[in-house]
Amino acid sequence: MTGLTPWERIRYPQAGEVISATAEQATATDMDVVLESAVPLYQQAVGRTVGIFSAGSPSITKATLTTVSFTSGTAPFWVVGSPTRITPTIPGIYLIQASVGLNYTSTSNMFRIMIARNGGTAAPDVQIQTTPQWDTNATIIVANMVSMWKFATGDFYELKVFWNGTPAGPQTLDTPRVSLIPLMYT
Amino acid sequence: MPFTSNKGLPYPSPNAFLDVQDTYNLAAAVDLQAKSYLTQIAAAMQPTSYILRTTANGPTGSGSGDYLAGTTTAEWDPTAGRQGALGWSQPPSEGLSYYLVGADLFFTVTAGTPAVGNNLLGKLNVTSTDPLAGTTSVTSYYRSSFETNNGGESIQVLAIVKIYRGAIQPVVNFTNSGGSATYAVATGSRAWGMRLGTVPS
Repeated sequence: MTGLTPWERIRYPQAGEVISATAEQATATDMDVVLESAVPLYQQAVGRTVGIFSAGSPSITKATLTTVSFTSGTAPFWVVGSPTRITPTIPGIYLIQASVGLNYTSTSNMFRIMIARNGGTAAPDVQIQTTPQWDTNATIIVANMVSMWKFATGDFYELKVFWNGTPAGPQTLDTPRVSLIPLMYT
Repeated sequence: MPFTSNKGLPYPSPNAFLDVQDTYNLAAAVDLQAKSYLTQIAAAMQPTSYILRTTANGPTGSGSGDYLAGTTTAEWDPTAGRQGALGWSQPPSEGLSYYLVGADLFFTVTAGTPAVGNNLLGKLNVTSTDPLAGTTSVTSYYRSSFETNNGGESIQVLAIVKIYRGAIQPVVNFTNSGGSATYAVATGSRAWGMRLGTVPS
């Protein structure tokens, strides 16, 4: 039994050999292994888990970068014991989307949301959207962002927020939502 | 020799004696089919994609104008070598493709004092070639914001684009409402993208 197919290395009996049950078993076993090797790829393609994380309406102090504690989230990326952290489980490329409102009742405000890696507060560990607000009639500023990350084992991500403006505050967040979308596994 | 109805796998006829050649034929057919599927699945699971990050402030200027990103490093670029100093270029072997592209642009003030209300634009310049005519065009995608004087501004730009022999360049643009500040793309800004699929012909 020395014949091997060129790509997937399936064993087969060669000419001149007496075919046997053992030889047939080896061929069948190799075919089985090849088919089984496609299963993890298939599972990745159809079975990716998207994470969604939300918080209530926490108060945020003016001019203070604040890390948001989520009150619910998709397992296994989020656990109650580490409420600020979003932790992917498989190394890969991920999109992290955030949509967060800030309630306020005055003008001349700005609102910044940040996805931060491993507790960082500055580049290269952050991606940021800053949204200014000048409309005196509005009662909310909403910031929305999408960031793309190369996740390595051990990394975690957090949502940080910052606002500044004329009211003394604190101001409350409105419907903070973050989603984690695996694009591919590396 | 008969074949299975779906994948054309050969097997011995019911009245024939089993031969080693039959086993070989079956193994070879399965081998080809498996290779084809696994190659296609692996390619679909690893679409062309990139994450570039600037490691220096970009060129600056005064007044309004376009200022590109500075020197970049590839945080992720499995296609190897498609990042340039001012952006990313599509692998030339790809056909007309849809991409999701984005940029996370930080502004740095390189001169003067920024005035609250300065108009800031984040921008993605997307270059593509017409596959038939061979002509090249640039389409820009924008997001606007204002100077708030809170320790640096940032803008995200997103777009789904259709490109062939394309290039993606992150850019900032600004207009002073007062004062004489000049801005540039700050170090730590990112440009990223992922191929979504082939444009149907």
